[in-house]
Formats: sequence, C-alpha cells, structure tokens
Amino acid sequence: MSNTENNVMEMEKVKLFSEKITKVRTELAKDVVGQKEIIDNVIIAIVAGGNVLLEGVPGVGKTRLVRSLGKVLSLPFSRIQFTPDLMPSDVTGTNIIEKDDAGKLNTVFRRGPIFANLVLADEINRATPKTQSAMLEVMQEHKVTVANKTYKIEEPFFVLATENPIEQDGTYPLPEAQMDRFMFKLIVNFPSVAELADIVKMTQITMAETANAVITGEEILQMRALASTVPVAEEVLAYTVNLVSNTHPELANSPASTKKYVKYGASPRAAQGLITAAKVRALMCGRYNVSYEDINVLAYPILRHRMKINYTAINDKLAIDDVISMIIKETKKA
Amino acid sequence: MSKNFIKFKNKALMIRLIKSVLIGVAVGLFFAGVFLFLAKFEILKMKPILSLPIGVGTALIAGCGIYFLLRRTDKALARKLDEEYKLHEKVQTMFEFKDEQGAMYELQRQDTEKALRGVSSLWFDVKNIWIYGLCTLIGAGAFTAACVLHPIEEPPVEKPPEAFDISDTEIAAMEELIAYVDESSMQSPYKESISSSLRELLDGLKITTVKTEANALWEQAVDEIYETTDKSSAAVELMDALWSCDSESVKRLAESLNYYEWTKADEWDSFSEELTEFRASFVHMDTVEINPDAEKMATDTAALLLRVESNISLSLVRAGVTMDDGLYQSLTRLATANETSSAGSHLYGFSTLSGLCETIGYTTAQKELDATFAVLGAEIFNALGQHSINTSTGEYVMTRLKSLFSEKIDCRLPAFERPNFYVTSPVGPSDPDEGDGGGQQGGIGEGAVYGSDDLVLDPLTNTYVEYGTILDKYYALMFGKVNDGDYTDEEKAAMEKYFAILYGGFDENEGE
Repeated sequence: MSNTENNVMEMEKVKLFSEKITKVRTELAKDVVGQKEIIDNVIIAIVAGGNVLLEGVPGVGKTRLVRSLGKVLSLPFSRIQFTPDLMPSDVTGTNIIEKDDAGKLNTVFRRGPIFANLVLADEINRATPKTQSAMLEVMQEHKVTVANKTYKIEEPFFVLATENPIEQDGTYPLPEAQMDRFMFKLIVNFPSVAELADIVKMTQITMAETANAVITGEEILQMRALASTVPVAEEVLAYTVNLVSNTHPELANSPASTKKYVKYGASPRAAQGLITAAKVRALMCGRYNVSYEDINVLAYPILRHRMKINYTAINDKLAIDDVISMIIKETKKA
Repeated sequence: MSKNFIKFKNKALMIRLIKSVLIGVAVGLFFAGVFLFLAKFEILKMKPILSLPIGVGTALIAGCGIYFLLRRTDKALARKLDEEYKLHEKVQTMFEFKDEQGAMYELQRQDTEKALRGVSSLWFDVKNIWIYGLCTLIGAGAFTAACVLHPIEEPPVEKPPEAFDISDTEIAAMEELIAYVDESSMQSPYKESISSSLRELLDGLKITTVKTEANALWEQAVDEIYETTDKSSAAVELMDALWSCDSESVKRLAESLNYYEWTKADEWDSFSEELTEFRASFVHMDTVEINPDAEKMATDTAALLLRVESNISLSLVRAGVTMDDGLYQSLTRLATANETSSAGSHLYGFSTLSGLCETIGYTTAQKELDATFAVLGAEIFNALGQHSINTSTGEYVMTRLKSLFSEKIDCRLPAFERPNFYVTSPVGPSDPDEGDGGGQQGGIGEGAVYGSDDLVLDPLTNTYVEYGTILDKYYALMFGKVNDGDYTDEEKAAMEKYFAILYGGFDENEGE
C-alpha cells in the first residue's frame, strides 16, 4: 500500500472519528441536558480507555448519563449498586457447585456484573474497602482472579463510578490506590435554571433513555488506536511531565503554591493519562497534534483526585481546582 | 522544510536585520552624540571629529551584537509562530516530526501548512519593533542635541592693566640719583644726557598709572643711558686711534689696550709696562729693522710719528681731551726741535733720524722722545681714567634704577659688554663703525656681563661685591704696593691721580 493510499485511509478514519464523536454527543444530548463538558470528558475517557469517577449531588444525572452512554455505545452494560453489605464476589462473581445433566456435581464460575464492557459502579463509596478493593485489578488490568483463576474481560472495558459528596454517613472513602485507577474524576455540577427546566420537561414525556446505539466496541478500539498515533511535540511532553512533577511538594523545584498547599502529588499514571487523553481531545478538536491547551484543560479532571491539598489550602478557602490552576500558571513551558 | 515556514523564517531574518540596524544606528548616534558633547564642552580632551569614528565603531559593535543576540533557531522560530498566531503547537510538532513518515504525521503537516497559509507574515515578529525605533530616535536626538548645543562662550575678561604708582621714597631716590649724576665726574655732555634721561623717566613715572607704560619708560631710559655710556667710552676711541696708525708696535699697544678691562689694579701696571716697551721698540721695530736704510728710516719714523700724533690727538679730542693737552704740545715740541735743522713744516721737518740726532744730538732726540711718550702715556691714562668714570657712572645709574624699581617694573638690564674690536680683524686698520669687529658692541642681549644690579665682580676673590667696596680694596692694595716700593714715582703719581679721579673727579682748574 502506497503512502498516498495509506494517507487517504487514515484521513477516512479521522473523518469517521469525528463523525462518531458527533453522533455520540448528539445521542447523549437526548438524555442528558447540558453537561457538555462532562459528556466530552466521558467520551475522551472512553476512547482513551480510562475509567471515570463522577462526583455530584443526587439527581444531577450521573447515573442517567452512564446508562445513556451504555445505550449509545451498543456494548454490554451492567450496573452495580454499591452498598455496605455488597461483597466482592457480588462484583467479580464466584464459583458455585452445579449438578450437570448426568447428576455429577461440578464447580462452575458464575461471572459477576463486572464482566461487561461498560460497568456503572453507582455510589461506589458506599461499599466497604474490601469490596472496593475487588475493583482494583479489573480496573487496571481488565481481568478478574477468583480462586486462583484469572478471567480476562472483553475489551473495551470501562468503569464509570459515581459518588455522592454530601452524605458521609455509612460511606467509605475510596483508597488512593483505587482513585488512581480512575483516569478522570468529573464533578457534575447542579444544572442551571434553564437546564433544569429542560430536564423537567424531558422527564414529563418519559423517564426512559431514548438514545440510540451509534458506536460499537470495535469502533471504539479503532478510534483509540487512531488517537494513539497523534504526535506530541517534545516541548508539550516536557511540559506535561513538569506539570505532574510540580504537584509534588517534596521536590526541590516544585512551585511555591505546591509547597504551600499540596499534601501529596499525582502519580505517574497522571502523566500517562494526560498524554493519552490529550491525544483524543486533539482529534476531537480537529487537530493532529497535542497542544498545551489540551494538557491544561485535562489537568483538572486528571489531577484533582490524584493529589491532596493540605489544611493550609483549606484554611485559605482554596479548592483542589484552585491549586491546580496555580500550578498550571507556575509551570513553565519549554 | 515547509515553504510557508521558510517564508516566516525569511521574514524573521529581515526583522532581525532591521532591528540590528536600528539598534546599531541608535547606539552609534548616541555614543557619537555623547562624545561630541563631551568634546565640545571640553569635558573630555579630544577633537570633536573623533566622535564620528567612535559612533561608527559602537554602531558596528552594537549592530553585530544585537544580530548575534537575536539569532533564532528553527525550533525557536516554530515556537514563536505557535505563540504569536496561537497555532496550538502545530508548527513545533511539524518541525519536530518533519522527518517522520506516517499518515498521521502527514495529516499533521498538512494541517500545519493550512494553518500557516491562513496567517499573514506581514506583522510577524514586529510587535516590539517600535522599541527599536524609539531607541533610534533617542540616539538621533542625542546626536542632534550634541550637534546643536554649543558651549556658551564667555567674552574674554580683559584683565585690568596692572597699576603703577611711584612712591615718595622712590621719587626721592630718583632725585638723589639725578643729583649724583649731576655731581659726578662724568664728562659733558654725557652727564647731561644721562641726567636728562633720568629726569624724563622720573617725570614719566610720576604721571603714569599703568605698569606697561612704566616698563616702556624705564626701558627707554635705560636704553638711552646705555647708549650714552657706550658713547662715552674713551678706551674705544683710543684703541681705534692706535690701531689705525698702521704700525705693528702701535697695534700691539692697541691690542694690549683692548685686552684689559680696566677694572683691576694690576691692569694699569701692565699697561704702563706695555707703554714702556712700546717706547723702547717704537723706533727700533718700525724703522731700524724693517727699514735698514737710514734715510728711509728717518722718513718713515717721521711719517709714523705724524700718524701717531694725528690719530691719538683726534681720538683724545673725541674722548674729551682737548687739543692743548700735553701730547699735542709734546709732539709739537718734537717737531719744533726738528725744525731747527730742517726747513720742512711740522713733523715733515724730520729728515732722518740720524740727521735729527746729529742736529739736536742723540741724547736730545732721546729726551724728546722720552718726553713725548711720557706725555702720551699720561694722556692715555688720563683718557682711560675718564673712560672708567664715564662707564662706571652709567652702569651704576642703570643698576641703581633696577634696584629702585625691580619690584614694580619688569626691569631688564642690558649686558654690559667690553668692546672687542681686533680679535677677529688683527691686520690692518679698522673703522669702529664698519667691518668685522668694528663698532661698539653692547645693547640688551647676550655677552660677558661686566656688572649687574648693585654688584661687581671682585677678581681677587672671584665673588660679586658692592661697587664701592672694591674701590677701597684696590686703593688699599695700591697703597700697600707703593709703600713697598714696587712702583716708580711716576707710576705712583699716575695711580694716585687715577684714584683721585675715581674718588673725586677731575680738577678742571688744574687743566688735567
């Protein structure tokens, strides 16, 4: 195949990428009013192969968004409602004894709800740490090990989790290791008055999601492969690394705001996630290279759950996003 | 490399050149202006024209320096393009992956080319160029100001003429000096001339209030006094007269006269001996040896005596000795004695010396010659004595004038020189007014200093002493030698006469 033909094919893929993204946006907009940024970031995470943690007060459409997404993606979808009495086996599945037709007893693995392409972990912080830990392996390695036997989960695989920041009774904060497995933590804000009115109108007609399936798992994987070829300039890569590095107060060269307000910084997964997600965002924006803007925009959802501010920041009434803004400002471009 | 990228690269190079030129011109003009200013206002000792090469030099250095500092790599240019046109790092990415093959890279390059085509290079990199223009304006302003500004030339302050005011004490001293001259033994009309010069000087100094005028008056008076003193030199006249006699023995006498300065006591003794030798060799040298022929010897002797008589008489007259003085009478008597045996007139009555001796007797002739030369010697001493009085008085007046006004007037005394006529012209007669060695030397200038200020050289101690003290010293020396019997009675009489003249002047009643 000649270069020209290859280019034509690649251009077709890019064109297809844009069309699919537009379709996904359109379909999601049928069920979710507003939240354009949240939708875009969810799409980025799905294409990039990352998990998403949605945080918001009850009723802002977190679960609806994920359910609608499940319909749009035309992928096997499962929902796990996390409760304190939820056991790990309720998530991963378990071995059971089953009598076959011949009357012989056999041990059979019954798959849990995690065996789907799109998993909604609703109110994930209500489960005990033990159950939450059952999610670690599957979120990172996309496989489940039960009774020393490992089961691979079909790609693409995403976990979209929700949590409620208000109700703290009977909740278990997610451990840092698990938080790090989420590529994005998206804050779903309360809708505006106009959006609220649209929501009310929409739900008067039907409560069911009306979005149609417009994209397959195969297509998502192709889009992911395409996005991975987007070039990143050395300066942008260095900037990304510096930005993540600057979240660590223990480093000598970290900015003053980091030293003052940050308790601990983001892991290397943040840098990986930033570049991966930035490539997808670049394509979504019609570009073929990653820019500083991609990194800066994605820094908030990627860094905000991977680093922790200290009491000084709280005392100064600073949120994590404020500190991230400071760090972005203080990070020099190459 | 992308065509559009090269377009921006060329534009950046042009802007860089323009900025370098602007900064070079700005710095050159500024430094040229500063140095021109410093030179014009004489803060820096340099010629104003040197500010031009300084300006050119600094312009070249600054221009090259800025060109070097503003150099930009392709990578930096790509970054600049991305920043200036907000191209989302497209150019940087394209530059970095320019050699990569792949559909996505190709798409990225196409996308970047499209983006670069969409922006104009017209205003690229010119955002801060106004700063460079402003610098150039500042430099031009500095240079223009330096060209336009000129130091305010203050009119030269004319120094007020230095004042002069003669004091009563100085007037009294001048009056005293004039009286001294008037009462001195200096001959007339020299005495009157010097006195007149002093009087005019005093009158002028009383009137003038400016130092420069006083200087001029003083110098004029000193010139006049110097000239008068010079004219009063009897020694010169005598030397001229003797030299022009065309006789080797007489010339020798003239040389000896020229040799002495007449300031030392032993000079008088030596010259007296010279006269004695002259007398002894007079006939012998000029007649007997040169002219063995007796007749011719007598003729020549007679002619020589005539010249001696004539020249010496005339010189003595010029030197102030009257015609009825002893020499003339003595020579006349010699001639008269000759007339007894000769019909000729005056000295031409000499026939031959032998004839003369036969006629009046050898002894008589010798006596006559002795008497003649004794008188000749006395007259010469007499003239030299007067010479000494004249010159001493003149020089004293000048040194006294200087001592009086040295603090108020720029007094410059002439060098008092002894005449020296015959050193360069030893053969043949010489006219004091023409020829080499002729004429009285003197005036203000270089030369052996005979006297200056109030001091004269004491040859015995080789030190400068006050004028009056040396006279006493010499007198005491002479007196001692006389008492020791070193001198004849005639010499003793001549010396006593000489000192009497120095101390008291001529006694005109005695006809001396």
